[in-house]
Amino acid sequence: MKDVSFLQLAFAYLFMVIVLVLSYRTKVGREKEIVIACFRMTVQLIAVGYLLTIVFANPNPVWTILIIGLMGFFAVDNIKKRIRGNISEQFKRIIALSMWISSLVCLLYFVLIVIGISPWYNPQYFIPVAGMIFGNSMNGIALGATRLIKGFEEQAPRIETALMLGATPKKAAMPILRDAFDNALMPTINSMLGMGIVSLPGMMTGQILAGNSPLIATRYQIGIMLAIAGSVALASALLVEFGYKTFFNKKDQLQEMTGCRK
Amino acid sequence: MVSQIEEAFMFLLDNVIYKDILSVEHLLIKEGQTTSLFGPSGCGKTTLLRLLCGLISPTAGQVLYKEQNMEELDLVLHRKKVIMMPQISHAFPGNLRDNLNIGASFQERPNFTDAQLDNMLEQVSIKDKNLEDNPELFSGGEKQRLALARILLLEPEVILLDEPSAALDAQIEETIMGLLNAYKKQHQMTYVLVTHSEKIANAYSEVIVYMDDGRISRIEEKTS
Repeated sequence: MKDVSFLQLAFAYLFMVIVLVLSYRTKVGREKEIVIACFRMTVQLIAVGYLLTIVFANPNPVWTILIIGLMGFFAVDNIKKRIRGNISEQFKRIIALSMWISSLVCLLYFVLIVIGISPWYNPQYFIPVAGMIFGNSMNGIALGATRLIKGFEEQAPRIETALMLGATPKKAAMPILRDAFDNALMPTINSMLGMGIVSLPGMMTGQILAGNSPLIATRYQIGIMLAIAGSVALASALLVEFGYKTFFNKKDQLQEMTGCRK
Repeated sequence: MVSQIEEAFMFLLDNVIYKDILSVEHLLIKEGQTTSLFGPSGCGKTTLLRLLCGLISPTAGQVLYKEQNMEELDLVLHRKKVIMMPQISHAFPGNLRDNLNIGASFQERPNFTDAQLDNMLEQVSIKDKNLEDNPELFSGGEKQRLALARILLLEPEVILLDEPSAALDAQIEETIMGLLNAYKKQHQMTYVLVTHSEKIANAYSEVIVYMDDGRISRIEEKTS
């Protein structure tokens, strides 16, 4: 791949100058955020670049597992921050479990069985693939969880009407559960639809820039896309299937925190 | 007191407290009767209904349903027998047929036949409506009668009515109460009726429970 020097890279910051000028001239007032975001992006990526160089040069299962663990931890933390309003401890646990189970199952299946990497902890494969799977599952869960909470808040009277007619909690909440699952999965399905036509995905672009054959890059991309879809679907299903229960108590009554009346 | 307990009762509330909203030392709700809960809004009437159908549980004390402590009951099963009609009835997505069948689907029972549904619509005086019609377009009174039909189809033992006609005009109120009264005579129903109309309470119930600020202030049994 053609090398890019820091000097050359400096010219790319011209784009940020344009953004800043636009923000200032149109009185959007986001200059501070733009500078911070740009600075953090630069520092974080350079740091990761050095970190990965070291990790790739010294493959070690402990490092691989540690990095995967950190990625998962930050993904779960990010979801909790993205969801506004009060969420119960129980629901937080369901979020973490959905994230970990779905991502690990799909990650391990993809790198160990589909690609068949060797040694099994090879960080060069494990870490980028984990990043993509964790990132997408994180988005899916955040969308699904937000929808679930909103549904229970807004539709408490309708859920109670269903309970009054003898519905089980699951039956009473079913429309909300379907809606949450749908919301979690839609972005992944939409991105699959547009893939290759509207966008050349990051992983594939990277491989092509690095000089790999587009045909191999495509195969990787298809595989990773399927793994992502699988992980998002599994995560959403777990979230919905176990998450709704946290809105009810053991006596099949709607918990009061979801905003139902006296 | 003893003779009162020996009578067949549906509900018995014993030193029931729910948060700082409701405090009932003793209340007996008898089978085959209409018991009205009467009092100003915010006095705990609706909370009492919610306790009876198990949507909430008392903070202290116990509620007995047919001599069984409700804490020990499967409340989903309980709510198939004791159905509450909320103050405002929601139409569910779908047509009139779907809406009438939704109780059956919630309870995992087979759907009712169109003949059964038509018969029920006649009983609740919903006229000139087709089973394919969209109930979202119904008037408030029609939606309320639809909610009632939905419940009657399920043949519960007790119906808890939370001001079934509060949002409606006097004439529709009379119609709904008349319907309920006729149905009660046919099927030996037990009703608990929340109302803030003393006229309705007097006209349709055997027992009137006067409530104020979360407590029962007086119980009036009518001897007819």
